Amino acid sequence: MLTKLLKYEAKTTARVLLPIGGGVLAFTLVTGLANTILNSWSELPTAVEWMQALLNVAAVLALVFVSGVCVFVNVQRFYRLLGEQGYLMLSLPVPVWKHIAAKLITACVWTILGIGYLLLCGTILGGSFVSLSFSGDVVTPDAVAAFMMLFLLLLVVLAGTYLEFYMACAIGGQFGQQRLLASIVAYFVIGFVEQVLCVFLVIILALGAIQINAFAWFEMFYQADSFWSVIYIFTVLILGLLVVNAIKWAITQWLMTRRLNLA
Amino acid sequence: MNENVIYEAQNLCKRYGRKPALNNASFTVCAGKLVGLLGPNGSGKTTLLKISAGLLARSGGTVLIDGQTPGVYTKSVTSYLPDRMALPTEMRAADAVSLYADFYPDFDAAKAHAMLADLHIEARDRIGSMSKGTQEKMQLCLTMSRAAKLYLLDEPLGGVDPAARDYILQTILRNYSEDAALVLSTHLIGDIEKVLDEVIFLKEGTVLRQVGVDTLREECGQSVDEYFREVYKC
Amino acid sequence: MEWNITNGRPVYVQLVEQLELALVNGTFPPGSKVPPVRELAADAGVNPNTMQRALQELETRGLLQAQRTAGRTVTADADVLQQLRRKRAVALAQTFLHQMQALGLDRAETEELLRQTAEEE
Repeated sequence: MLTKLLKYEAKTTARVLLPIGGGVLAFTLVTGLANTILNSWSELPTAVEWMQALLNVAAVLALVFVSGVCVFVNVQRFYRLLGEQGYLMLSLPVPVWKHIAAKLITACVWTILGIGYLLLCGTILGGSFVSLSFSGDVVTPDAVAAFMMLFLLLLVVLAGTYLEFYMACAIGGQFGQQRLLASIVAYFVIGFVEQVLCVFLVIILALGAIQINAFAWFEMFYQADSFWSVIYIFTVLILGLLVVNAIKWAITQWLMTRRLNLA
Repeated sequence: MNENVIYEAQNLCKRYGRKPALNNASFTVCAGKLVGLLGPNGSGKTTLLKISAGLLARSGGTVLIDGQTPGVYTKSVTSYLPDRMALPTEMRAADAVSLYADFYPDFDAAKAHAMLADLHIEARDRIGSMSKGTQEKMQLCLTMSRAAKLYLLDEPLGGVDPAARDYILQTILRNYSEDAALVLSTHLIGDIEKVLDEVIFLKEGTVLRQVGVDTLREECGQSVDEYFREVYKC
Repeated sequence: MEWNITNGRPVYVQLVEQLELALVNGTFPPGSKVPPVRELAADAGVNPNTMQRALQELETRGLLQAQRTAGRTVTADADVLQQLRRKRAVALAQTFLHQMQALGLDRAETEELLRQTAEEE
């Protein structure tokens, strides 16, 4: 059932995102082309320079717009699940976690593709199509490991961001008539609570570090390969974030099963 | 006589804040029966059906479909028709049929296509471009094309013209199965009572009475419609 | 066939009456197969269980015979049908006579009325 849900999600989101993405890509190509041509001329009339600048600003704004749309559409899909689409989708004989998973996976995939898309458009706007080449000696085991860790971190943070939206929607769903307002308020409240908890965590860690004489422990770190200690820290960070994500998921799922309140 | 209980509730409660929408509602429905859930607006019919369909959490009591509480299993054996348009308007008719076929193993796509053809609905028609009446009939077709154990229809006859009412009742009768139960809610009884085995009277969230249509007629010498008017007189 | 189910009286009783009528007036000829319950119920716009009950009642009265796998057939026994015909005719006649009485006609007037109306037909 999960693959079927994914297929359905992908089709529905693609219907909105692909046309917009295609349109903006075309616009970016035009702008990039204009840049390549205009940049090769030495003297340009001021008016044309102004037009080129405006064109580039428009292209950048278009890219910002596409990014916004990508996030918005994916969050809206989940919001609708607890509203108008709920009668159809939540009547399906599918456990709630699969619904959450399908939407989360689709959202993350689109966002990662979006980042790639932005990089592509960025280089096009820069006017040079050749700077995307890799030199072979960059690809060392260390670099690959670092890249993997960064990618995982990005993925976990991404998932966390969306799960936060989803949790806010689930909390908002408890409030029937004022669902939209409640969801928005819930989102900001969750953000605030998270920040407060983070401050507490940092204070506790700092106090704890002092208690157990962590400085000596860090000394040991420095003796080890500093690269791998960074990897180690990244792993701890990723695991910590995963736990937080799991908590957000669990709360969202609980609200959608034990406290489901389709208007 | 089939004593196979497919759908039952015991002291089912639902509160919105302080307001009770359902207040200790209890009833049983056996397989092979067509049951009417009758009551004025606000008596809790939609709430009851939504809880049974697993779209609303209950506050107390139990509701069981084929012996299980609402969850993935009950959704696979229950075909629910909401009182509103649940299909996305940008969807095409054919897409809706394939969605149902994808997710419901008991869905009969051939039957659904045949019913849609009867209604002169083309596969490529967008749902948003259909009239409200056609949309409702289409939803009904999809709901009845499943071989479910329990059909829950929320106000299938609300706001439709007499010809559409006949069509809906005929669809229900022609899809009758001895292994399944069908519960439909309505506040307009009229000629629908001939189609029903039993009626459950719901008032302010409680079950006033569950009785067979002919039993009631014998008892009171009135139709269910007339009895209803008396019982719910303001 | 035309079904006319009214309010107030149990559906099942009305179904039995109208089915009997259909048997005597030849809508379902003697020995012929009766349509399946679901179809009859959908035609009449009534609950299939109620229709089933009515058909079973007719079986008990010997008007229908249930074949084990092939549904039901109308009895080929002409006597049984004739009795039913007679029973219904007598009931109608009695009603008619009572109604004429209520209008104030006596026996002779009633018979004369019948004869005249029949000739004009």
